[in-house]
Order: sequence, then structure tokens, then C-alpha cells
Amino acid sequence: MVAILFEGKSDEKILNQICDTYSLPKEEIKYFNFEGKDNIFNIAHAYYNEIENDINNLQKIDKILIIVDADNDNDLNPNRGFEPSKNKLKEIIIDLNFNIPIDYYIMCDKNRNGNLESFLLSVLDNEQQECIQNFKNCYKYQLSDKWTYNSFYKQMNHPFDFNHQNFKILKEKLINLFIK
Amino acid sequence: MNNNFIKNININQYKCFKNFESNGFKRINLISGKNNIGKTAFMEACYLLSNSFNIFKSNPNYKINTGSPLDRNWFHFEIMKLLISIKQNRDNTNFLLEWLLEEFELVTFNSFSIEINKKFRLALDNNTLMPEHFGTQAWGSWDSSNLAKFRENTNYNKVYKKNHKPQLDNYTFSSICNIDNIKDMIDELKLNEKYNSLNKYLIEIFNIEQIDIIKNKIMLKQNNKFKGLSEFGDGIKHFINILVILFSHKDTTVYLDEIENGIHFANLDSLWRIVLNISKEQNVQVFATTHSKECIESYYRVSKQLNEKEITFIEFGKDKKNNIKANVMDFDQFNRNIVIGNGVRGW
Repeated sequence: MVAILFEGKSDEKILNQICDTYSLPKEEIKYFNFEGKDNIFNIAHAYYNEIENDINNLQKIDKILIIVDADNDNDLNPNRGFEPSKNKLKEIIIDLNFNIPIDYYIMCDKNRNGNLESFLLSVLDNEQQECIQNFKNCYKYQLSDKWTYNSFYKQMNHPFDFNHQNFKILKEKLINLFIK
Repeated sequence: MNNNFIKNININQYKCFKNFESNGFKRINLISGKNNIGKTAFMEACYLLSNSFNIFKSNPNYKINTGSPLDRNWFHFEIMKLLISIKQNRDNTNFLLEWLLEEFELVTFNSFSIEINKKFRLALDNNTLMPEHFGTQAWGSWDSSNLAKFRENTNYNKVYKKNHKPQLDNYTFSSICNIDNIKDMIDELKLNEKYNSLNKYLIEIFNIEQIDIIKNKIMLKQNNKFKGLSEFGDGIKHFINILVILFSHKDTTVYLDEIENGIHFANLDSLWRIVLNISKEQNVQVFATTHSKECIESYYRVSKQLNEKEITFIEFGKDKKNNIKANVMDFDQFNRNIVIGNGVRGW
């Protein structure tokens, strides 16, 4: 089995859809919803004990993929932003000292900012993106990608093009999980 | 949690198990895993050890730890009966047949070594039975008993009568429970207040007004008429077995193999409500096995509804060296895996 660690429910929903699209064996995945990025970055979190037991005692998990949001680096939290997130992930992977392959993926927009929602909005075609931008300009107040995604797409179960090139790296990382 | 309950088990060797360790068991423990992984063998090991330990503890001097007045021949004989009852369950034969076979050649058992609660160990090595209780120095070293000399046991003639079925007095393994045992147990229940509780559940779930033994047959009263149990479906029979077993025991452990067997999925919640409620009332620890996804989901649903935290879900799988491993989940861990949709039926 493989383990996928992520921040919240929205990740889980999208991952399930991606796995369906690429015909990945969902029954071979053990999901861990850490409910927040800081929990993923806390190696003392109880889930890591469970994962360690799964790896060393039960020998149930062979590979791990950690998925986090990049967030914006103007945030006061030092682990926000693409590079700080990447550095922190590398650090915790060493600190966890699990004797199995661990990979990571950082959700962001084309400017390496944002989160899952920014990533999903980045795969929309130009016309749709322009339309959203026009709405944002017209509305004047700043609207987050999370709000935009939840308001325009999530409610309508908008079908994303999972074969879009922006999904390529995530797709490869997911497929790699199942290569023995 | 009750001191009589099994909290941990260490199986050095028993059937498919080698160097197996597991702990964290609670009052209700549901076991799942792939076919032939060893779910029933695990329950057999628990059954054998906990009942041997209970027999040992039934000696009035156990608590005061005064020397060793235990009749060891009797003790070994009781363990032998437990071994035969396991064999009967596994081979789907009846006890009498096994016993008669034993008349000609003693049934053989593979060697094993099992320990529970870090207190009591039972080993069978080359047909020599070796019980051991840790920490009771005054009891001294335990005698071993060779199964081949079984007939030399001083109790043998008292219990065995040619062509008469010997008394097997432990009914905690549900698939061992044949119809005769159930009748005896219903008779016992009629002597105490649990009989009314049994009928209360039957009317609630199946609209059956009463269960009774009439002309040596189990009869169920529905619409003011008694009908034989054989006229009802397997689901009702299985429910009755479980109800009677739970109501007939107190402060001990019972084993319900393939608990969902024959029970319609619409009745699974009722089944778990019964198991969770009566086990609490009777202070009975339950180990049960299942293959069914619906049964696992129902177990989760009802535990959550009743806010029952004294439960575990045990998932069996194999490590890279093919050793059996158990992932014992407490309620919170089980809850999280079910909610997120992770598979819990073995790896």
C-alpha cells in the first residue's frame, strides 16, 4: 500500500477524482487528512506514529506522497510560500527517518503561489480565466482563489481537464507511487 | 476494563501464526482480513488461552495465592476438552465423533505456544501440555502432561462413559454452539431474569413473542402460535444463537465467528446494537470476525450512535516475510479510516 498525506478534505476529493481518471488503485491508498499544513510539518503528530507502525511493524506502507499548499510567502508564518514549504518538507522527510521512499508535491498557481484552489483554477482555459479576472476587477475587493473556486466551480462539480499539462507532475508522482 | 478480559496476546506458534504479538483489545473487537489469513485461528488461540486461564482461576485458592491445591489432572483434562472443542469447530465434526475416534487413536494436535495478558502461557510441545502462570511463585513449577497418557488421567473414567457424549461445558465459541447447547442455555435463562430480556429483544426485532423449549424442541411464539425454530430463516437462528450466548455469559469472553453469517444487511444495525448493549450489561468481552463491508460499516455506525468507545477494529495482513500482523484500531482511528474511505479489510 501507499500513503498520501494532505492538508484537508478538498485535497481528498480532488485526489479521488484524479485517481479515478488515471485508473489508479484507490484501494491501495491509505489517506491521512492532517487537517492543516502545520500538522503535516509537526513530526510529533500522532499520525506519524501510526505511519511509522504501518511501515516498520505492519509493513503495510511502501511509499509516501506528501501534498501541501504553497500558500503565499508574504504570510508571517515562516513555512508559507513555495520555497520555504519545499525546504520544510525536505527537512521533515529527513527528520522522520522513514526507511521508504517519500515524495512531495506542492499545490500552487503558475507563479508558485496559492493553494489547491489556485492550482485547480490554473488549468482553466484562457477564456474562463479572463472571465474570472474580469469579475475580480469589477468586484474591486480582493477575492481569494479559495473563494473563487468554491463559488464558481466546486458547487457545480465543474469537470476539470485532468489531462491538462499542469497536472502532469502530480500525475507522474501519483503513478510512481505504484511502481514497485 | 474487566480483569478477565484479554488485553494482549503473544503467539509464538499456533497454526499459521509465528512470533505474533498484538495488544490494545477492548470489550468489543471486530476482526477483518483477507480469506484464510488466520482470523478464526486467532480467535481459537484466544479461546483456548482465556478459557484455560479461567479454569485455572476458578480454583478458590487462586486469589489468595496459597500453594498449589489445584487438581492438575483435572486441569489438564479440562484443557484437553478445550483442544477437542476447537478441533470440532475447525473440522466441522461433532464432539461425539471426535471422541469416538479418540477411542481408537488419540487425536493429534500440532505444537503451539500462546500467552495472554503477560500472565498465562500454554504450550504444547510434542504432545506434552505445559501451562504456566507467571508471578504466582507459590504455585510452583507446573507439571506437564503428555496427551498420549490422557487415558491415565484420574478423571478420565469419571467423565468418559462408553457411547455417552462427554460434557463439554464451554459454549463461548458460537460455531461450537449446536442446537442441544442452545436448548440447555435457554433452559438456564428461564431460571433467571434474562429470559424476559431475551424475549424483549425477539419481539422488538422479529415480532416474536416468546422463545421456549416444548417437547424438547426450540419453539417460537408468533401471533399467539408456537412454531418450530426450523420453520424460520437462518438469520433468526443466528440472532437467537448470539442473544442466548451473550445472555448466558458474564465476566468472560465470547467468540462469534463470521458474525454476519445469514443475517440480512438490513438487520446488521440491530445485531450490533444487541452485541454492544448486552456485552456491556453482562460485562462480556467479544471477539468477532467478518468478511462483510456492510457489517464493518454497521459496526462503525452503531458504535458511533451509542458513543461506545470500548471497541476496536482489528485488520489482519501480512508483512514482507509473510508473517501475520494485526493492526488494532481504537475507535478514533477506526472512525478516521472509515470517514476518509480507507480500505480496512486487510493488506
